[in-house]
Amino acid sequence: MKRIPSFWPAIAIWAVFAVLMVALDGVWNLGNMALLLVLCSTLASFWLSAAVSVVVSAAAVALFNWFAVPPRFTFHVDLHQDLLLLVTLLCTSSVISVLMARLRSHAAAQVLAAEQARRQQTLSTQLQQAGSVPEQIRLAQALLADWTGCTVSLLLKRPEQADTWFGPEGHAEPAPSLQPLLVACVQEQSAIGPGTGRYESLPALVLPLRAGVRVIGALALEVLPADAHEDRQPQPLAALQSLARLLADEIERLQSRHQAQQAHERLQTQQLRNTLLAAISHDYRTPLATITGAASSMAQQAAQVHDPRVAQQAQTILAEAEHLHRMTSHTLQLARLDAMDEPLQCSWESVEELWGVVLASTRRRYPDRALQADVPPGFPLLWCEPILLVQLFENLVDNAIHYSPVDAPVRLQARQMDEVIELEVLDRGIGIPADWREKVFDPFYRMQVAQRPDPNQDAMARRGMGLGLALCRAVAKAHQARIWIEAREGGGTVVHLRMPMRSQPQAQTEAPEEPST
Amino acid sequence: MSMHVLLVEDDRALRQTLQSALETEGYAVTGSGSCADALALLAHHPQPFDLVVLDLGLPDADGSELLAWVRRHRSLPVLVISARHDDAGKVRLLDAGADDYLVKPFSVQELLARMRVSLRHRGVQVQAPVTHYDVGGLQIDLARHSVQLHGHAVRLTPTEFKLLARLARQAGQVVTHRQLLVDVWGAEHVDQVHYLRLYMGQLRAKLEAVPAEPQWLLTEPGVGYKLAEAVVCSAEQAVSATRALMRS
Repeated sequence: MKRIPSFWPAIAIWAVFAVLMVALDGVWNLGNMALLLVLCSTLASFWLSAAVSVVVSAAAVALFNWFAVPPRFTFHVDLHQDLLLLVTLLCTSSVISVLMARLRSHAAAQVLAAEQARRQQTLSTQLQQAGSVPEQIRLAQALLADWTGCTVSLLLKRPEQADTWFGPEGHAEPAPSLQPLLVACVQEQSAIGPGTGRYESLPALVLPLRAGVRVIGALALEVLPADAHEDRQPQPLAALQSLARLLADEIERLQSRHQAQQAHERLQTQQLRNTLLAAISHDYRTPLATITGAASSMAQQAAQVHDPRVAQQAQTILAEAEHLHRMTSHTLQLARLDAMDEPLQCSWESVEELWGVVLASTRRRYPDRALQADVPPGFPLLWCEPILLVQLFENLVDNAIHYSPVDAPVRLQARQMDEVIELEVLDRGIGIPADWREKVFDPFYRMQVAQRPDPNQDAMARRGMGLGLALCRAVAKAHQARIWIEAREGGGTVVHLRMPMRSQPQAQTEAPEEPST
Repeated sequence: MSMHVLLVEDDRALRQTLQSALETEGYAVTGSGSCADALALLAHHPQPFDLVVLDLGLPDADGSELLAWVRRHRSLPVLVISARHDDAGKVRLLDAGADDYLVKPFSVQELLARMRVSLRHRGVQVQAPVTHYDVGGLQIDLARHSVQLHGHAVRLTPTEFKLLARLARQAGQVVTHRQLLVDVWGAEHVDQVHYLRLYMGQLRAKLEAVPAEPQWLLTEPGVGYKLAEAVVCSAEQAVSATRALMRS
């Protein structure tokens, strides 16, 4: 390690001076010899530090006095003017030495600054061209290793993601001995290791990666044992820190750019889907309305002219249209619940009313089936989106009807337990085998046809329920409720919906007035 | 003279189907496929219209603009057809002055039934306010504050009666939650939907044979309530229960 350039040229210069003194003794006068001394002192100070240069110049003046100033070979000075000459010599060479040293250190600092600026420029350009964070880090590692001769390890802490480790070239991770240092540096949020004044004895210099005020990771610079004695200048700490800051800023910038891009893409997907859903909804329902309209007036008129075949066909068209309509609604609701980007439109609802709607619509479709709903008086209100709960129970009741004999009743039962409300759909149907009770909630899953009791119902039952239970589960989930299937005692199935009970809203009560007569 | 209906629907197939179905029922129907065309017809057609059937999704403008125009300039019942399925939209339309709404797909019978209700309601409103309701054994006399079920007086609280009376004045039509809350409890209670749930529950307990399958106090989930204009023989149990009561 040599901070000062070689001093051999200075020794040579002074040697030449000594030779010239002896050679020119008696040829040149004292004044000329003194000028020669000033020249040599000036030249020698190029290679010497300020202090050394001043001391050497002083020694040279003393020797000059001893050798050349009369009386010669003594340190005495006879004449006042000779003394003045010596003092002038001493001052001049000292001032020149100091000035030269300053100039030199200034130039050296400028070279260093230029080098630092060039490195920052290189690092920044390369990092900006990188397309991903790992790529940025690999580039930075290579550059820093090249500039400092150290192995470079990194720890990147990222919000909502696992920490990412980057070892030196050829290693996936930093050496195990470095990992605690990197973590400690992130925690302390300041540089540690040799040259920082903190934990000087550590094997590596560890710098925090600071983006703005946040520390997003740490950077370890470890001197390789093989390179330890090689002739390399250590980097000033401030320069390394500014490179680390640059790296952190670039990582942060790339991350936020990625995030912005993702958010934009999500938004676009969302808009596309909403447009698509609106289009599907409109495009399906309008032809459905045409079919339904035509078929319903056909059915009515055919009944009037007593043509049972046409009435039958019209009924089929109606049933098919209704089926398509329900499927469309299920798909739309599923897509909406799946995305969960718009909040539910909840309000206080009464189970009695919701089930009233379910029973009314089910009766319209199955006028002959026995249906019954039990809601205890004063049952708590539900905080829910009414349309979704109606759809859920319509699906469950439909399933119960499809999978049970024509004369078997379907019951709805509401029960209030400690902190939960339990709503159940009970049937006396064929039941569901234990290992299918979870699977039936998957979209498009369906029980095998052979399991069904009434083959005549197959045509109706074979379709449509694939999405039905999946929708039920999605609706339950959106309401923080749980839905599951159990075997019913005495045969059949119970579907449970367990909803959390919310504290009920307050309403004043009043006494009935006397009826006026 | 037959009733003149303006049918505003941009889908040709549906317009033709509905037009022929309505004409079969004896209505005179003028069809229109766009908002601008419909406005021109409303303003200049030699034969005045008695009813507007309006599809919301029109190619040149949103149907709600036409609804707003009709409400400002004409006293016509407007029945809205919509492919949209959201409650907020329905409620907004009803509050904006639509007489009723139908969500696609619907049967022609349902459309005809709702048209009859809308026409009757408008006609009644011009002549005299509703003072009596008598359907399927439930009698309400608004002037005398009396409610009788199968000949027996029913004791209602003042709020229960106000609620029932409000529904009776527009029997057969959906009254939105908002309208009910404002008219019965006052504008400051417009968000207290749970009042309705509780009082409708009490009313059903007093009036309905099977509260979960009401005959009169019908629920339109997410939208409002309506008092049945005629008892539909759909709820078998409810009907047989009523018969049993009537016999006793």
